[in-house]
Formats: sequence, C-alpha cells, structure tokens
Amino acid sequence: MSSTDAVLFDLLTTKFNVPEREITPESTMDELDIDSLALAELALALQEEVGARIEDHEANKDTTVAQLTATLAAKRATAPVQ
Amino acid sequence: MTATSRAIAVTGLGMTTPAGGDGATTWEGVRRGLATADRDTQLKGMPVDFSCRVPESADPAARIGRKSWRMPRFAQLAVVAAREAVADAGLDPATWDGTRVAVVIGSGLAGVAHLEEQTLRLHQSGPERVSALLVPQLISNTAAGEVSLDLGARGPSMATETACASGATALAVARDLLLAGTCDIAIAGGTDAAVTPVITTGFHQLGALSGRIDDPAGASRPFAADRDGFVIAEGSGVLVLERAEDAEARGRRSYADLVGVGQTSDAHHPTAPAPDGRGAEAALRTALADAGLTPSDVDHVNAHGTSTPKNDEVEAAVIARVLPHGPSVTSAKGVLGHTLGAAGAIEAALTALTLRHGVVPPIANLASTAFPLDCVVGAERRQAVRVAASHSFGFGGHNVVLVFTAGRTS
Repeated sequence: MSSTDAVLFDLLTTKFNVPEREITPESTMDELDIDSLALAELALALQEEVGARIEDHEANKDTTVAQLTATLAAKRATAPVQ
Repeated sequence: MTATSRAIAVTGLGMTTPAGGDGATTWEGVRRGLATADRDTQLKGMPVDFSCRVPESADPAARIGRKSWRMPRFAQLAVVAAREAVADAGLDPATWDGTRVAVVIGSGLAGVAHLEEQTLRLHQSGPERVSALLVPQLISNTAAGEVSLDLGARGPSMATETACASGATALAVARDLLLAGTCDIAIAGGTDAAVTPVITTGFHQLGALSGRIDDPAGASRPFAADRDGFVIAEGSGVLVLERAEDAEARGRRSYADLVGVGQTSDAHHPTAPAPDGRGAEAALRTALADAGLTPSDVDHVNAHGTSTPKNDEVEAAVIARVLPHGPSVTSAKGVLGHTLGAAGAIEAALTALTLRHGVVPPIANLASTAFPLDCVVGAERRQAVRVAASHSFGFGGHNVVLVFTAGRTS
C-alpha cells in the first residue's frame, strides 16, 4: 500500500467509521456511504494530510478508491512542498 | 383531583448524563446522591477547571456507530437518548407511521464547540480549511434533525431555545402538538454539550459558576446557605409522549402523565431572575390551573435548584409562598451539575420516575437548608407522590413549570 493509499484508508476507517472489510480499490464512495457532505469533509482532511486539494469535479459518488488514490498521487507528485 | 382528558402519557424515557449512559443508570446515580463533578482536563488553565461530563464508557459516538462522524456531540447525545426512549416506549420505527411522529429537541448552546474550532482554523489556516460541516453542526435544530433522520420520524421536527429551560419548553411544545392532533407520538427533550473552555469561562465571567476549584465534588449544592454557583455539565434527556388514551389503547404503561404546563417570562433582566419571583410564581400557578389542580395538591417539587445564590433564593421563596404546606423538594443538579438546555427534560424524566417508583432522590452536598423548604437530604425518601411540579428557568427570563400526576395507566 502506498502512503497515499494508507492515508485514505486511515481517514475512511477512523474519521468516517467505514469498516475495513468494505474498502477495496473498486469500492465507490457511494458504496462506502461517503455522501456529498462526507466527500467535502474528506477532501478537506486529504488536503491537510496529503497536501493535495481534490476539486469538486474530481470526486463524486461514483469515484472509486483506486481513482481517488491515483488523483491524489498525481497531485502529490506535482504539488509544491508545503 | 381527576386526570383530565388532556393528559399526556410519558411512555418512554432515555437519558445520557454524567451519572451514566442510560435512564436506569442515571436514576440510580441520582438516587445515591453522589456528585459527578470532577476536574476536567479540557478546561485546564481556565479559571474554573471542573465540570460534569458524560462518562467515556458511555461515549455516544461509539454507540451510534457509522453516522456519528457528522453529528455534533449535542446531537449524538440526543440520538442515543431518543433511541433509548423509543425502545422503552415499545415503539418500533420500522413499523410506525412516521408521518405522525414529531420530534422536538431543545438546546441551549447547540454546536458552539464546533464554531470555536472552526473559528480557530479560519484564523490559523485560512478560509479553505473551514469545514463544510460547520453550519449543520452549529445550528440548534441539528439534534432534532438527526433524531428525526435516525428514527424515520417524518412529522413536525424542531428545536426550542429558552436557554436552561429549553428541554422543558420542548416538552411543552410537544404536548401542544399532541393536543392539537398534529402528531400521535412526540419524541421530546433537551440536549447540550457545551463544556468548552470559552463557554465555561463565559459563564464564569457572568459569575454563574461555583468557584470551589479545590472541591469540585462539593461545588454544586442546591439550596445550601454556602452555595456559590452552578457546575457546568453535558447530557441529554428524551421522553416519548402520547395522548393518554392512545397509550392506554395500545396497552402501554405510563411513567407519569403530563397534565399541566405553565410558561411565562420575567421581562426583568437578561440573566437575573426577577427578585420577587413573579414570573416563576405565575408559571407554577398557571401550570396548576392548566391541570385543574390547586397548590395544595402538589406533594413534590423537582426544583430548578441550580446552586446559584440568586436562583435558589428566588425559587425557594416562590415554593414557600405558593406551596406553604411543604411538599418535598429535590434538585438533581447536586449530582448531575447543570446540563443547561437538557436539564428541563432530564428533570422531567426524573420527576416521572419519582412518580412511578415513589422515591424522591436527595439533594447532593446539602446537609440542611436555611430556606423554609422540605428539602430531601442525606438519603432518598420513600414517598407516594401523586402530583409533582418540575421547574425550569432560563436566561432571558424564561419560566416553565410542568405538572405531572401518577399516570392513569401506571
């Protein structure tokens, strides 16, 4: 698991109470019970943890864990050091 | 004295308080009369650094589970208490007609803890770091909204705000909804979780808190000659109310019946009670008249009894003046501290339990009172109470008195 994976996994399980067994690369936000309010809060938490800002159009209820991780990893690679 | 057809049955109770995570544990703690106040690490360095908190073993977030992350603590406490009350009433949200179920939950300070956090974030990290949850976690109707959502209650849902009388006002409003036929079941109560450094210090600056920093457990002492203020607390109390004939028809036993409500305003001062107690007295007399009862019918008072010099003096004078025959008097705030907007509902629940069990809990930290009242001290008292009044007063001059009788289906 990459560090970005680990951060996302950790946030989903500890902040949003998603059971570990439900989280797979193919799980969508909707399947994990991450609704629009949760997604806004998740984006804020990721910005703080990873230093990358997820824009509104980059994540929605159909976004999978793998897609979100890839988006984060790409942003992180190009993001200035904070 | 007869039960009126306007009687409202209390068919379910739920409490999450500093004495425990449910109604039974809270009742046992209040009956024992042992104060729950203790040093509070979250208040370290503040002029008053003690409080009454819900024990960690009763953490509401853990009990709610998955959806708890989005709920402010004051809503979490209400959801846990509401679930307990509904189960206690023998109601099943999977089968009830949710459109006929109302939710009325009062709160004094609602989600101010989140406002404090987010204000810091705004100033320290910038606007991008402010949570989208701030507004839903701040507004006082979030507790009612989350209870409604959690239980599938689709009738009217609302918050009441009358400061430390909010929980009692919620019960008064719920009663009116039932009597008007607007709903068939009302889930009503109060909640607060505002034991924060800013709010606690704000109350201290008002001179409302006890300054017994060397003796937290002895700080809340309602009606004692040497009382010096209240102890801030958190908690929630929720009651299920139904028209008595409906409760009877479905074979439910009532803890007690809510038979009279009196609501008045002092129109005197933003925070101080009117020295002559005219508003409180009018609320008590109005509630008794509403119930078709006379002052001499009252044999027990569950007092507001905050342990502040002014409240207890004014309230004692009102009780002595209106009820000179000397009904028993207790205040749960010696044990629980002052749960602010939850207090009126928690104390209504405790009053219902007094009527059900014939037990008046003692006032903690009180050996004897200088007031001409029959305060229950030392240990609980066995008393077959027939009529009880529960008092709640709030900043803003709000006075709410609820009169209960032994339930006709008890």
